[in-house]
Amino acid sequence: MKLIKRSTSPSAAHQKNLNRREFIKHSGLAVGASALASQLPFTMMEKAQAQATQLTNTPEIATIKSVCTHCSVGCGVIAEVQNGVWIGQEPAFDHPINLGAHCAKGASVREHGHGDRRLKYPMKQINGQWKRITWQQAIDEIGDKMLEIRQQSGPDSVYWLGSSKHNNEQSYLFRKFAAFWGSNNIDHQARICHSTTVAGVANTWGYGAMTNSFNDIHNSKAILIIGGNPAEAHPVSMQHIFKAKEQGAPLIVIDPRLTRTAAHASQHIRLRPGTDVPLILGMLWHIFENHWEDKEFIRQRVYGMDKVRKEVAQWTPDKVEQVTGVSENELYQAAKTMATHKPGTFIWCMGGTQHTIGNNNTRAYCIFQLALGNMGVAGGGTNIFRGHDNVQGATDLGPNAHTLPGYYGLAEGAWKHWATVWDIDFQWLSGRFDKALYDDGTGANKRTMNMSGIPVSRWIDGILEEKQNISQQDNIRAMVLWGHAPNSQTRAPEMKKAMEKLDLLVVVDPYPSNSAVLHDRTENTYLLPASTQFETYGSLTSSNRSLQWRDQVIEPLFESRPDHQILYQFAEKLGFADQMFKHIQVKNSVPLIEDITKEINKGTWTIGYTGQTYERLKKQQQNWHTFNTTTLIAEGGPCDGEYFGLPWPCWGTSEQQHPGTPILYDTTKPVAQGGLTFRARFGVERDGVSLLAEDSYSKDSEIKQGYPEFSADLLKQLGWWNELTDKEKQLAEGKNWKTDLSGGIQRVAIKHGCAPFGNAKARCIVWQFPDPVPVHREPLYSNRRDMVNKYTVYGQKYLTTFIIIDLHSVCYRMSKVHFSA
Amino acid sequence: MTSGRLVEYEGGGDETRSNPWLAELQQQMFVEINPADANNAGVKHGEQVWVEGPEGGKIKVMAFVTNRVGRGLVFMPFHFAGHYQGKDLRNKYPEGCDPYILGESCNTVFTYGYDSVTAMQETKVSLCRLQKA
Ligand code: SF4
Repeated sequence: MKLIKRSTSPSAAHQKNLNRREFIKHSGLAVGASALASQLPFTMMEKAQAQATQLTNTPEIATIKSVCTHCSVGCGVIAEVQNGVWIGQEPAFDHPINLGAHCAKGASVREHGHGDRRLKYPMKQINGQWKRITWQQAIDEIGDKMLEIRQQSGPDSVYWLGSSKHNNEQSYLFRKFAAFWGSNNIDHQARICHSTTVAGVANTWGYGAMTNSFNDIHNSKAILIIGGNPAEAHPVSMQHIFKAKEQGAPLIVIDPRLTRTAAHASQHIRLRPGTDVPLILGMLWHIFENHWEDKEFIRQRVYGMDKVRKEVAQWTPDKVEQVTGVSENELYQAAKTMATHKPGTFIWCMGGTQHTIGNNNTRAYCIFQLALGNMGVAGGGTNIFRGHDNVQGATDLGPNAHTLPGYYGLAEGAWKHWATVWDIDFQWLSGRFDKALYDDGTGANKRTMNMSGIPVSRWIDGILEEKQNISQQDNIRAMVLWGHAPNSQTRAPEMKKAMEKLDLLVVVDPYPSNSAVLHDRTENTYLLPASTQFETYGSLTSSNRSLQWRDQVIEPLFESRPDHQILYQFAEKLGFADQMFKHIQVKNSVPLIEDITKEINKGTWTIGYTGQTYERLKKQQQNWHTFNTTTLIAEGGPCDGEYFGLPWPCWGTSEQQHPGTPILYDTTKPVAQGGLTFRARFGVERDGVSLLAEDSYSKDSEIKQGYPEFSADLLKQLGWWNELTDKEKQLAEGKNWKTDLSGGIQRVAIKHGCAPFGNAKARCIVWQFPDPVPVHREPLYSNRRDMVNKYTVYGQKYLTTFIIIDLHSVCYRMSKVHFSA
Repeated sequence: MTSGRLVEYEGGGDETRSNPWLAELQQQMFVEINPADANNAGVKHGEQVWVEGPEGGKIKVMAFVTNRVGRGLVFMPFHFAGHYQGKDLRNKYPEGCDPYILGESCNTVFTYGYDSVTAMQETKVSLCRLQKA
């Protein structure tokens, strides 16, 4: 196959046939040098000529700012580009997060600008052979097939698997695309990396994200990492951890394996995999036993700790050792370290989340930090390190089976909110979906529009499972894997079967990926070349909720196209481009990124994605050197007083110039300056007990008690309604802080020092979940037969939250095979 | 058994295994085995071993004998693909688009199991059997 190179290689310059006089002139050699030149062998002369041309005739080297695409730390990259070719790369030395550091992955991103192994053209399998086709042919053939499937089996038979590799604008567009196609069968990698974190953490105190930042770890007096290996997965974050460690903070690493991170630990604890809950409750046992808990914090800001105490009382040190394999002494040491070095930060990753009781694990971690009063303080927090570069942004805005952008959910109100933002008739949108009703798993009947779609972890079941076990019209018949490596999902032998059963398989990716080779299909399989983030521009959200703006480094390589362009082409083919791009300018089939950012700002009030306009983000990118490397606040310069990346929530409209929220739930600052309370998300009382905060409020709050979330009605009760302008009143009437498109409700709440989402207690009991207080359950495949009957898995009843009804999990699948050891 | 990441690769690894600078640094899929378990299975460091999962999948990978993992535990990175149950699939990629490094995917042996709230898959704990290849 012939590569299409865009570079002006030395051989191209060669063809210019400079004569010898020109060479000497350009090379800057003085007269005497010509004698030397004449003595050189002919071949060397040729080479020297080419170099001389490059020095004088080629354009200047441009330096372009981008962000590494390989993890959520968000390291700044400086690309050096000459004549459209990415010729050099530097880590950004003045970037507040990476401070000149890169790991192996970051240091190698320039390779994306060359892409020898990239997928170069659209391809199609004919008789098992890959054949090059045009984009037009690809879109036409795929689109026709999809429309045929839609007619026969309904819109839910096409699955759109998106990616954490999209930027924010593309993620958002991808979610919008599925909505206009008419299905919630859409998802992305967050499902299989931190979904249990997002669910567990959001249900504890309001938002499901990292609470502090990498840089803020400088303020930690102790660091606990469980089920995380940042030395390999988030290498540059380690420089912030090391800074705290150098300042004397002990580092506790809890991991079954002596990882490269554990190698740096002050204390390494090996636990038996899958026993996080007893381990954490076991540490809490020591904390309660020694009265190390923060009683005042718990009184003011925590609901349900008494129930936790009851569960903890069972986890005596001997029992903990039996289950986890960790001795009393080890655990006492760790608990004491955390209790006597405050504030301490608590970091976790996939080792905690990827379990059948992942949501119990993540809530146990939160409860631990609540007991010690480590929340809402610099140096404390639950620092959840996300995976892919934009997995946070894609979770917030993008391809999710269970929610529209901004965690609005899938109920009718959510659809109406977004239909208004999109300026689309709700009935038309609703008509795009299957109209039939299906069992939602709890006995109620719903339309698929209002039910979570099939999650990425289970798409293979959507193909292989009997039709009657799936709450949709038909099986999945077409699968689009867009920026998604299927080898990150379990059960490959079944996946292979599923891929082979599909009517249509489409891969959209810069690389062919495992989806191109795992199966033995011979027809109806397409590979479409997507561009990387260096071949386009837009915003991304790093793990710490900071948004950054990437500039475009190079033009799309080969025949690749950026995701938003490919989405447009599909929308056009499938017949809804005019509605979908009503307020987004499209030029030569490329939607304008800035218009998409604007639309995100217009609708995403829940998590404060409203204040980060592209103008502000671009300005910050140009001035990233002006931010303090611990607090992340800009000191002087054009961004003075703003936090780096305007970390969400960045409340209100951009006119309010909110600086972003660097630390969630920090009551020591006014909300207008990044302070916050715990969110009042779960009502105001439970069984007669108030869920609102007691005697705790953010700085300068005019309400010196807990309060519910803000709405038009609450403003009226408080006598603050007339502080809205007439225009704001029109839009805010009957709305709340999440749905008021004027931003007036948020503006007035913040003016009075209040958090738009209320001021409540964090809760240790999540009454909607299968285990309201986290308890231990053995892994589905356990190596401890003596434990499985004591700590059983869930029955079938709880495993029906998504469209697929689960038939397999009533009992343990004890393996017939064992370790040979 | 459990799984995790390597500094050189990201996610499913197609992008990073196609990057020559990274590919050079990490050239083979492996399974970390505690020396005691390796000795009991009669496997030496660097030898090929079959890792067989309880649902029928099996993969052939290099034994990395090390105390990084405790007794009774094996660890595998999840970034590899392009080999399937002992077979090299390199010739199935479109010409010139095969990643430099291919290897067995550990998720060929990882099993059924999902979080009760979010349908997260259980990839941090399952069972396997080791056998010298
Ligand atoms: S730490 Fe993450 S963002 Fe930074 S260079 Fe490495 S992979 Fe890229």
